[in-house]
Amino acid sequence: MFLIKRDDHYGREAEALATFVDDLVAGREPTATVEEPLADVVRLLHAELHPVQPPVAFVDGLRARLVALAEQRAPASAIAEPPVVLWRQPRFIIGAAGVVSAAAVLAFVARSRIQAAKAA
Amino acid sequence: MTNVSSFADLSDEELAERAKTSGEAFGELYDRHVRRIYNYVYYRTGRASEAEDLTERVFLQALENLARYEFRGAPFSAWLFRIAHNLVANWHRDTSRHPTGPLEELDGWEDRRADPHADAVTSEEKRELRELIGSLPPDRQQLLVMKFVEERSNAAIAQEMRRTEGAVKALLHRTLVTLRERLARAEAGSR
Repeated sequence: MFLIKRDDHYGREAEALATFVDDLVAGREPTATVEEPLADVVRLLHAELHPVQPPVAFVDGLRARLVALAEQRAPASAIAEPPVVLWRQPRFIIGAAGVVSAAAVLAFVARSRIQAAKAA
Repeated sequence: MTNVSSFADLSDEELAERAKTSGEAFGELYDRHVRRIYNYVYYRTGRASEAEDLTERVFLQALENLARYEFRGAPFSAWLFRIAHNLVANWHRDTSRHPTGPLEELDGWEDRRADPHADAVTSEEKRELRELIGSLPPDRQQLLVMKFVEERSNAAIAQEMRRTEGAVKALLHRTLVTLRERLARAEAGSR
């Protein structure tokens, strides 16, 4: 009972804090009430964490290089990667290993039973 | 010849499929995500120069592995952020460095100084906050970036982090409580 009440309280506090953060980030007057030290941390983060703009030359230069690289790679990868045959696919190998294991277990059980029958 | 303007109507996942054979499709994917990845890396490393280097490596690795990308319910951006996360984790491991106040290095801040509280944040507080954010687990750092930098809704974050909306709110709560406690401790220690 105590745990349920504690969880309820925690959930309400988390909900109120999330609303407070959303209001502040959206530039609205916060509607939710949160304890002051926590509100201060939110205000500090809001003041400190801003979107950073990467330099335009960096963004454009990297884009040009990546597109050129992607164009070079596209036809090469299409030729270099033929479809994997069924028996070499991981799911087939895992399935086959499973069947072999099951067969081994069955054989072991059968052998044990035969030996037990002979001994009796 | 593919009509480049038609790429704008495609979803990320459809584009990723096209990008396996088209450089321009990959270019469109890049345009959609480069700023988000850059911001994520910037706030995880705290350095503009590293943000450029790692952003480049994220997209090179994405291009390299694109043939193996398959849509399985999680958005393409989640796949991209996983690459970014792994590269940043490797960077932290290799350099054993922690984010330090790189604000002066950076050009092009979208300044929010209209917020009166922003003026009250001293550079010492900024440095402290950056270090504390850098000491959080990666998923919490990612959450803070998505919430405060990208201003995304809880539903969008939930989809990207593959959690429920309630779980995102709970994680946000835990993260902010942790930051409050650590800030209080740091403040007490500096007195």
